[in-house]
Amino acid sequence: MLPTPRNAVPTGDAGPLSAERAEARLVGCVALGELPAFEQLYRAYHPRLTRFLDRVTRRPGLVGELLNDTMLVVWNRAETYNGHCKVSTWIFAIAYRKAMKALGRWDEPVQDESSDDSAQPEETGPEQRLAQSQLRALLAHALDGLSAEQRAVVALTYFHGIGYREIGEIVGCPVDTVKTRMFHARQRLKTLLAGRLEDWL
Amino acid sequence: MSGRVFHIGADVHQKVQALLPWYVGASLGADERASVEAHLAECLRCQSELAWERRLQAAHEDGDAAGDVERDFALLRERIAGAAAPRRRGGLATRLLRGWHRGPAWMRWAMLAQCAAVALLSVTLLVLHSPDERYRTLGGPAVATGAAGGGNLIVRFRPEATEQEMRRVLRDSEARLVYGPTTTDAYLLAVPAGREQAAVLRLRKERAVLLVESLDGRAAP
Repeated sequence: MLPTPRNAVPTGDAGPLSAERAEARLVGCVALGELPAFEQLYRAYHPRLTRFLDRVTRRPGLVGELLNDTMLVVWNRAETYNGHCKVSTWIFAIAYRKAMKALGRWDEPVQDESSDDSAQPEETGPEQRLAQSQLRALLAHALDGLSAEQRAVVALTYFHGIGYREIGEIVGCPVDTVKTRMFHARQRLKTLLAGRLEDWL
Repeated sequence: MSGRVFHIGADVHQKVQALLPWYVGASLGADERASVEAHLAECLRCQSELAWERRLQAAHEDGDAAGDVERDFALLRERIAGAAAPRRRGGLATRLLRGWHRGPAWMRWAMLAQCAAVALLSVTLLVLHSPDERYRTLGGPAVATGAAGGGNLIVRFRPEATEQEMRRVLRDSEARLVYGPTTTDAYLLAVPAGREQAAVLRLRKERAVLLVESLDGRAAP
């Protein structure tokens, strides 16, 4: 069974099209300075941007600041959104540029906070928690082996359900480049996770 | 993600596997998804790849980062309030600009064409109906500057005066024609500074001159 794409703004009727329209309406309200509309958009995108920026930057300490930098652009430049792409594409593209700019500014070693198992669900047993913690650390290490551009394509594809054409718009490159980045990312991950991923589930 | 038909060719495994990440992410178009599923139904090798893709996706989701939305939004609200810049919010210009960008392309071109036509008509009307130079005031800036920049005498010639006579009168009185004739057939003359009174007296002796006046009022009538 295929997973359903993630929609940002809840709407009365189901369907990605209505969700996209609802988001576009929200951005229109934001352009008029309506803070409640902005807060609704912010809350809808906060988990998605947190996940995306965390995956791309691999620096948890940066995520909150980058997220707010991104949404501040949305607040200040909402009137420039012209509806030629999805709201999600527009916002993720802003976040991507913020992340790339920040990574260009920061060259300190990546801090691996994913090995911290303090947030494990209570119902899992000690052995399972340990295994998941180890595998998550392994995956984090494998992701660190990718470039930020590859991590962005991986995150947008697997965890945000975004198609390769839209990813091309977000990261500002042709579709073939998106596929190439994904190809190399998968090869790298396969090497780094060889024989380990099968034990996950 | 729809519209283009995805053709599976000779390197079918490579093409299908290249699309698997977007297949598990449910972002393929209907045509591509159908092609991938048709191949997966009969290819164990690509089914194995699909299983790996699903594990990778699940592994990532298991380790999702979580932020504090309340704290983060409070911080952003402070930044917004701190900026306190005069905003464009809700203005007519903003609404027009948004409407402009969101309208169809043909409408923008039509509006541009209309604006161009209006501009062209406006320019044409301005050229055709520019202010009548014949109603130029004699007390304007050019006059006020006197001989240095404008005129300082006003003169009317008799109706029967010939052009030849008028040229001679101007030469003899050392006057220079600045402007004229006005609607009352008057001419604005400029004479060198300090020579106004002499010029007035000389012009009054001319038969061709009907009237002469100094604009600065120092010359006696």
